[in-house]
Amino acid sequence: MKLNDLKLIGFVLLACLSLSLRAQEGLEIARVFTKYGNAKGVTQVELNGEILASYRMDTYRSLVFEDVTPYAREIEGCLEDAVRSSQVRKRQLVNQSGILQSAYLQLADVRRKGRKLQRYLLFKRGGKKKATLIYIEGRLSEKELMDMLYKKP
Amino acid sequence: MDRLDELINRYFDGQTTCAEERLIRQAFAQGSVPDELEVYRPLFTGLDKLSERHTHAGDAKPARRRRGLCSLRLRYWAGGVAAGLALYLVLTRILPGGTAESYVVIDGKRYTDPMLVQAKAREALGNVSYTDEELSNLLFPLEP
Repeated sequence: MKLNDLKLIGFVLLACLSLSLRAQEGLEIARVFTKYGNAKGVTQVELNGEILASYRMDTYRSLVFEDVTPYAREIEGCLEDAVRSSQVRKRQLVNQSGILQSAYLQLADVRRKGRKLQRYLLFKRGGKKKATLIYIEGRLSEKELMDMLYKKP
Repeated sequence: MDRLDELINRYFDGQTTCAEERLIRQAFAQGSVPDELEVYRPLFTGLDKLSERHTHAGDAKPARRRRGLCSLRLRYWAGGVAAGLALYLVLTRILPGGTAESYVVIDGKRYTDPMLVQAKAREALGNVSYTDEELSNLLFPLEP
């Protein structure tokens, strides 16, 4: 086998390894976004490009379930899985009568394009059967996120 | 030997079959031929050797060619994969912000209107926001 062939195969293997590592840093909850993003009664938002810059975000994805009942078990399982994983730095979970009402998870930082980014996973049930799941990645600090989420009286 | 002479005559007239030509070559290869026919020896022994070489080469060539084709295919395949991966890496990791646009999917229908997308994003963020009361309940939960 010629040297050029070896170089080419080496490049392909390295690229595959890089993709595999990138995929592993994701969580089970990522599956929920791809699985239910197009479902009926679900509103999915994905922000890209300049809109994100003003919020100091690099990635924003959200799912709003009008009726979370059919998905609740899977979502809660994925969130519990995230909590158990070593990827969660801070967590704030509220359960009521054994049902998860809200979850604020700060995940381990991730490095992309040479920049260290914060990651957040938010879940909250609303009135009746509504629930919202959000994944945020960016340079915004925990305080900036909490300020953004704080609802003034 | 008269037969060989006759075959050679037919050969030069272009009337011999493949089997007859093989007989002529075998006669020259195997041994003695009349002196008057010795003059043709280089021609028929040369042809014989050429024929042998051609046969062996014919056996070996397809394998070598197959190997060559496999190697070429592998190179094209690997090149294609490498190019695809390189493109993916460029689009997702190097170019600022990537090339994807913002969108909202409502009940399976995709919309890219920036105003609608932003409104839905704000609505989702509003859903997970918290008030002083909620914070207070979190810190000092009410007894059931």
